[in-house]
Amino acid sequence: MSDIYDIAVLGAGPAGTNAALSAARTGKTVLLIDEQPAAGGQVWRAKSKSIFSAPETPESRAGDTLRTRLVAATTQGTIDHLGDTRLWQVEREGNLWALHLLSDGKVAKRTARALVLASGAREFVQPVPGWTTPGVLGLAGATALLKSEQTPPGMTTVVSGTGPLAFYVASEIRRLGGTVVAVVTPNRRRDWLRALPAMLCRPKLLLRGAWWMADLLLGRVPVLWGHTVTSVTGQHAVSAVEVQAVDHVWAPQGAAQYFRADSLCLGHGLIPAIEAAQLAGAKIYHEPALGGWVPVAKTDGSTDVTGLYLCGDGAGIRGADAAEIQGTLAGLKAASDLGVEGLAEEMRALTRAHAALSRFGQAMTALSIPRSGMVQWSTAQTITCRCENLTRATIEAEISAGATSTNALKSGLRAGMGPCGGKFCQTAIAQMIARKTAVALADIPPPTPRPPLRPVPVSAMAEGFDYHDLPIPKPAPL
Amino acid sequence: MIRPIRSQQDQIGRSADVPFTYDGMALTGYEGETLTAALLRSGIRKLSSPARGMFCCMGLCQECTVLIEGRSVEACRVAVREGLSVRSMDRRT
Repeated sequence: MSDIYDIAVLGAGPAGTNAALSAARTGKTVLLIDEQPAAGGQVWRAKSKSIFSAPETPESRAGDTLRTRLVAATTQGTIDHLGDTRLWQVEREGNLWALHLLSDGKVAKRTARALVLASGAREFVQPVPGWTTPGVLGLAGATALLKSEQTPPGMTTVVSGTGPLAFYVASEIRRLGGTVVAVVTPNRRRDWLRALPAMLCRPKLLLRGAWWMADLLLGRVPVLWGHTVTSVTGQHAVSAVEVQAVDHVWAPQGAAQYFRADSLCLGHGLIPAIEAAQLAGAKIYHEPALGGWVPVAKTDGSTDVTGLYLCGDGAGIRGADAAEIQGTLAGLKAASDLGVEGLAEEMRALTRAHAALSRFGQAMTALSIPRSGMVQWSTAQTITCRCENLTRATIEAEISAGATSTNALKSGLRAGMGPCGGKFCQTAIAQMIARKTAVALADIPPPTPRPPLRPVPVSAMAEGFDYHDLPIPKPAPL
Repeated sequence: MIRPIRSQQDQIGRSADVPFTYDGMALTGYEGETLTAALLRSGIRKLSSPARGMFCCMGLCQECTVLIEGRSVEACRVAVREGLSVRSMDRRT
């Protein structure tokens, strides 16, 4: 293929892979960039190379179908798939997009006329005392381990969190030979009843959820509705988990109970990964029903920025099924804007299908919308910024001293400047600012995004550099 | 006990165990499996200081970062291979 691709796609999950496939179908040259060795994203993550055979699940089947379609396209040469490759900077170069990549410790640059970002989501974990203890995993993190390694996170696990993920993880841990000590969810049964109408339009998924519940109930696994984990015990490994009931705003109340466990899966919903979109110039707005801060984009992926398209969970958490449709749509829209004709009919049909599927996804997202009482899950001494080991008290003192924006806290305390780049503290920090200053969350945007989007080793940036190559000007004559 | 979802762990076919080292300790892992999973099976949960282990499992949190051939890499993004020599990275405290 030529040096300049027509369309570059970031992320090979359900959205990005489908965007690449639909764009390639129109005859455009396509580059697909993805962090993982195999396509599938986190939701349909492929098994690692150590797994030769394993019983299928709906997720593994969906992922295998996607990977088969992608392999067909890469074999034909219609898509270049760069796996194990990270995007760390994106910028304009004339009318083109310059994509700065990192792979195997080396940097590289690719250019494209149009850019489709399907960067997916990351997880929000509300800080609780002891959440930094080894053995505490994110709930979505646990799914990565379960899917790629077919391994439970420990011998005895407490699974806690919001939405359907807690039940999925509990069920998978049991299927893979682990023991679930308890499932703890702040949601109540009535929250799920409210989601039922939207779930009825996806009977297969509803049935699957019912199957997980049946397994937990028949297996006598305690399911604690309206409860949360309030503390984790253990110095170098989890030894026990403290659980308390929560009220309607999820503030803890009543007596604590304890579960012995060697691991805890903890997660409170997904957040769109918006940094690449922001670097590319997309505006963002706050929409709790879509996972918090969301870039402005139409259903067909188009944005206010020429040549930039956003799709999948990175454009608002709507789930894998909606992501597939929106990915296909965004790929076609990008191709159509590059001059391909005759796509309008298909795009209209996809837009209608997307509306129906997002209804289910958004009903699931709604179960994880943070509530005001969650702030009380942490104490003054609870670490909020994991990278810099900043406690809630330290951050709150800085807010009281006048640091009332996420940028100010980043400059003042390095909260969000550590190795993770603020990916695991910013939601909790915004909650603290909102509470201390009585400002709405919608008025507390995340810090200004800066490259690198992923850590880049200095050796990669300075690759091929030799000290003797330094141009040393001739000394001026005396 | 009735279990609609039975354990399927014994139905999973895995690659051969291969030796690798972690801070000089001789360990084994399935060839091609993610390093964090192999360490977890060997009972190693704490990967950096102060006590931190694998957390996000997808290469974002950087808490499982280790040194391999002088390069710092996330253990959750490294595949186990024979003779892999892994060093833990003591974080700034």
